[in-house]
Amino acid sequence: MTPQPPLSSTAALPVSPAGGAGSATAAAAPFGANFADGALAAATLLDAAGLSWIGSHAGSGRLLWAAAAHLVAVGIAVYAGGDARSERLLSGALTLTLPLVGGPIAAYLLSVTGRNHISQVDPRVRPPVAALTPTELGRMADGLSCYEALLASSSEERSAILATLSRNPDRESVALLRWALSSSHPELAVEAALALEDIGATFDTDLAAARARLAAEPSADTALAVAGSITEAVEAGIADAPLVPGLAQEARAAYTRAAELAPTRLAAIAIGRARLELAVLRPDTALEVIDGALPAAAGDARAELAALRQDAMLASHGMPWEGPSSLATYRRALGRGSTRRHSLIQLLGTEVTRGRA
Amino acid sequence: MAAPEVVAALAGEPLVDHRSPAPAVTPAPAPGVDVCLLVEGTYPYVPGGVSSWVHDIILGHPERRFSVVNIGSHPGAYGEPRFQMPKNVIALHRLFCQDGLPAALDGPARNELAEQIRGARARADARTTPSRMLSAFRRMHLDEEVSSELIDDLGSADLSISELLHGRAAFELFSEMAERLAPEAPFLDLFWHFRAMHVPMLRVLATDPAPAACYHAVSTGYAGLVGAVWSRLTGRPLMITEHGIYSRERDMELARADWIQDHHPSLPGDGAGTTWAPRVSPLRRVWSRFFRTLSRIGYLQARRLVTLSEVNRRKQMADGAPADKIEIVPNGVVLRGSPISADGVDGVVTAGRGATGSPGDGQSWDEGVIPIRPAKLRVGFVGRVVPIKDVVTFIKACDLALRTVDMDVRIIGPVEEDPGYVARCQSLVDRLGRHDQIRFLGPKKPAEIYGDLDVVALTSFSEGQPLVMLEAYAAELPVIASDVGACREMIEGRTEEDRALGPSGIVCPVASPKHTAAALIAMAQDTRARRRMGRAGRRRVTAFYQRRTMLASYRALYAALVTS
Repeated sequence: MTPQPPLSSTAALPVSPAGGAGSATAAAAPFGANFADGALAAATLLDAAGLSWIGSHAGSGRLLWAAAAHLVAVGIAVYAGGDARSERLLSGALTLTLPLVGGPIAAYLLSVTGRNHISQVDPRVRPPVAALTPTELGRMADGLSCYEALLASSSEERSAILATLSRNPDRESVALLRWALSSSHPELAVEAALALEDIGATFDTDLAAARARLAAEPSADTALAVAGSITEAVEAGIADAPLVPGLAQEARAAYTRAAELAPTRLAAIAIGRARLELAVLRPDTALEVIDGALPAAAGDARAELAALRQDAMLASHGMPWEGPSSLATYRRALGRGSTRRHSLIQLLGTEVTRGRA
Repeated sequence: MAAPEVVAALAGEPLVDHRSPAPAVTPAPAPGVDVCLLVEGTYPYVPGGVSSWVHDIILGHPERRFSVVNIGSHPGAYGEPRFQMPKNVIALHRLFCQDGLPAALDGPARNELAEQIRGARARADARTTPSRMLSAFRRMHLDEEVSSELIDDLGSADLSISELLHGRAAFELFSEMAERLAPEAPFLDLFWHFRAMHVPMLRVLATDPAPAACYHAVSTGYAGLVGAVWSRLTGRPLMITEHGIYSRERDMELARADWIQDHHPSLPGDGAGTTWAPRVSPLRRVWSRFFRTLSRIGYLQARRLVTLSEVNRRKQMADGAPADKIEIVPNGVVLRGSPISADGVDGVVTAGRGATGSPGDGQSWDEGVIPIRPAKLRVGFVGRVVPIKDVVTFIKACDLALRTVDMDVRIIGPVEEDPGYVARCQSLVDRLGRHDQIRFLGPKKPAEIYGDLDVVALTSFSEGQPLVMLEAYAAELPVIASDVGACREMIEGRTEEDRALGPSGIVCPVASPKHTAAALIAMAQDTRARRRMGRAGRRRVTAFYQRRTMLASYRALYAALVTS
C-alpha cells in the first residue's frame, strides 16, 4: 500500500484521471500558497483603487472604471486565489460579493488549517491500515466477551468456559448458562443444560448433607449451613421457582433455630435472613428483620445490615413518600460487606482466555 | 488366554510378546462365524437401547452365525447377562480395559514387586528393535496421523504392558507428548493419564482376532479400534454402526468428569496470582483428541458406516467420516394389528388403546373395547432413570402442567443404574408434593407400557434415535421430545415424503420444563390434535421405521461384507 499524506483543506485532492492524489494536487496548484495570497492582495488593491477613483472623480464614467477594476480583481481571485479549484472559486465569490474586504476574508479562510477542515477523499484510494501489535492481537483474541466466546469458540474452549461457570455458580454464571441454554446453537444448549444439571445436582447433594448434619448434630452452625445453602441457591437462581417457597420456608426455620441456639449471633443470622427475604422478593420482611437486628449490631455487621436495609427500602419502595409495594424488582447488588465476592462475569468479561493448543 | 497373561505382565512377569487368543465365556470360538459383533460395555450385560438393538439384530438374522465381543471396563463391573443369548450366537468373548483393583501390598510383597519392576525395566531397555506400537502412539498423538500403516502398527502387538509402564522408550515418549501436547499441565498428571489411556489399548489389542467373515462394531472408540485392527489383521471387512456419535458423547462426559483435576495457573501479569479465566483443560483436550482419533481410525478402516439419522450423518462427516461410506439405516419396530385406527369422535379413545393393553404380544388393535376417554392425561416417561435422560426436567414440566390440567404421570424404566439420581428425582417429586400424580413404576415390558398411555415424553440431554419413540408411534401415541439427536426428524419428518405425514408430536428445547409443560397441556387440552399426531406417528413408523426394513438393510449389508 502506498503511504498517503494527511489531507487538509490546504492540500485538498481533486480527483484526476491520472490517479494519484498527490499528482493531481501538484497539477492544480501551480502557483503555491504565497502566490494565492499575493493575488488576493492584488485583487484587494484593485478594489481599493476603484473605490478611491469613485471618490476622487466626478461623472458617470468613474463608475465604469471602478466596475472594471472590480471585475479584474474578481478575475485575479478566480484565476490565482487559491491552490485548488474550490479555493479559487471561494476566493472569487468572496471578492465579487464583498468588494475590498472579500479578498482579505478569502485569504484568512484559506490560511486556516487543522480545525473544521474538509477532506476530499478519493474513494478509490484505500485508507492506510495501521499494523496491529502482538499485544493488540492477543487482546482481541483473548478478550472476547463470554457471550461471544461461547458462541464462537471451539468445543474445547466452550467446555472450559461452561466448566468454569458451573464451578462458580453465582447469579451471573447461572444467568449466562440459562442464556446459553436458550441459544440456537444445539451443542451449546446441551452443554449448558448439562452444566445447569450439575449445578442443581451439587446443590441438592450439599443441601441433603447439610440437612443430615443438622439432624445429627443440631447447632447454630449446622442450622446456618442449611439456611445459607438455600439462601445462596435462591440468590443465584439455582433453585427452581416452584421449589422456592418451600425452600425459603425451610431456610427461615433454620435461621430461627440458629437464633435460638446462638442468641449472640443475631446480626449474622439477620444478614443471612435478610438476604433470603430479598432473594425471594420479600423486601418488607427483610426490612423487619434488619430493623430488629440493626440497633444491637456493630462493626462490619452493622455496615452490611445498613447496606441491606438500603437495598430493601429500594426494593420495597419503602421510601418516605411511598408505601411498601409488591412490585419488588429487587436484584441483589454485588460486593457487599462480608458477603462480598468477585463476580465471575466481571472477570470473564475481560478475561475469557483461549487455551493455547 | 489374554487376561491372565496381561495380569502377569502387569506384575512384572516375563514380557508377553505373542498374541493371545480371544477369551471366550461360552463355547470356544468356532469356525464359520459370519459376523463378529463388537460392543463396548453394553450387550448382553447392560440393559438399554443399544443392547436391545444388538439383540434384535442377532434375532433378526437367524441364518447368520454371530459371535459377540464385549469390551468392558474391568472384571466384575457388570453382573449377569441381561439377555438370553440367541441360538445363533456361537461365542461370547470378553475383553477388559483394566484389571481389577490390586490388593494392598505388605512389606515383602512390595519389595518383590519392586524387584519385578526392575527386571521388567531391564528387559524393556534391552530391546533391540523399536516398538511399532509405541511409534503408532507417537504418530497418533503428535502427528494426528490416521492411516492404514498406523492401524497395522497398532495391530503388531509388539509392546507389553510392562514395557509401556516401565520401559525407558515409553517414558521418553510420554515426556515428549507432555512437552508438546500440554506443556502447561503438571507432568505427573499427564503421565498417569497417558498410562490410563494406553494400557486399555494394549490389553484389547493383545488379543487374537476372533475369527469371523466380517466384523461389525456397534460404536467407534475401543470397539471400533479393535474392529479396525482385526479387520487389517484378517483381511475381513469391518462395518461400524454408530447409534450416538461416540466422540461427542465422550466429550460430554469429559466436560463433567471429576477424575480429571484441572489446575488453573495464573495469567501472565495477573497481579492477584489467581484468575477465574477459563482455560481449556489440557488433560481433557488430550483425552478428547484421543477419542476422536479412535473414531477416525474406525472411520478409515470401515467399509461401511451405518448411522441412524441425517443429523448423525452430518456429525460423522464433520468428524472425518467419508460421505460415500455412510448409509442411514433407521431403527425399526415390529408392527402388529391394524396400522391406522379409524377417525373417532373427540372423547373416545381409539379401539384397543383403553385398558386392555398394548397391541404387542399378538394382540390386535381391533380386539379391544372402546372405553370412555380417561379423565386424566396418561403421560409416560419410558427410559432409564439416569442423568442423561434428564428426568428432573420431566418432573418439573409435569409439575407445571399439573397446575393447569389433570394428569397421571408414570416414570417407567430401570432405577438401579444411578441410585443417587433416582433418589434425587424421588425427592423432587416429594418436595413438589406430586407423589400422587407422578409415580415411579420401574421397568416394564413394552407390551405393558404403551396400551395404558396417552402421550410419551422424552426429555433427554442426548439421544441417538430413541426406540421408545418408535414403540410409542407403533402404539399410535404422540411423543413430546427434546430437540436432540434424531428426535426432531422423527417427529417432523426427515424427507419431503416423511414431512407430508405431518408432525407426530411436539419438539421442545432441551432442559426446558416450561416448553415441555406447554406441550403436555396442549396434548391434554386438544384431544383431536393428539390423536392426529398419534396417527401420523403410526403412519411414519409404518412407512420408515419398520423392523423388517431395518433388517433387510442389514441383511444386504452383511451379505455384501460376508461374501466380499
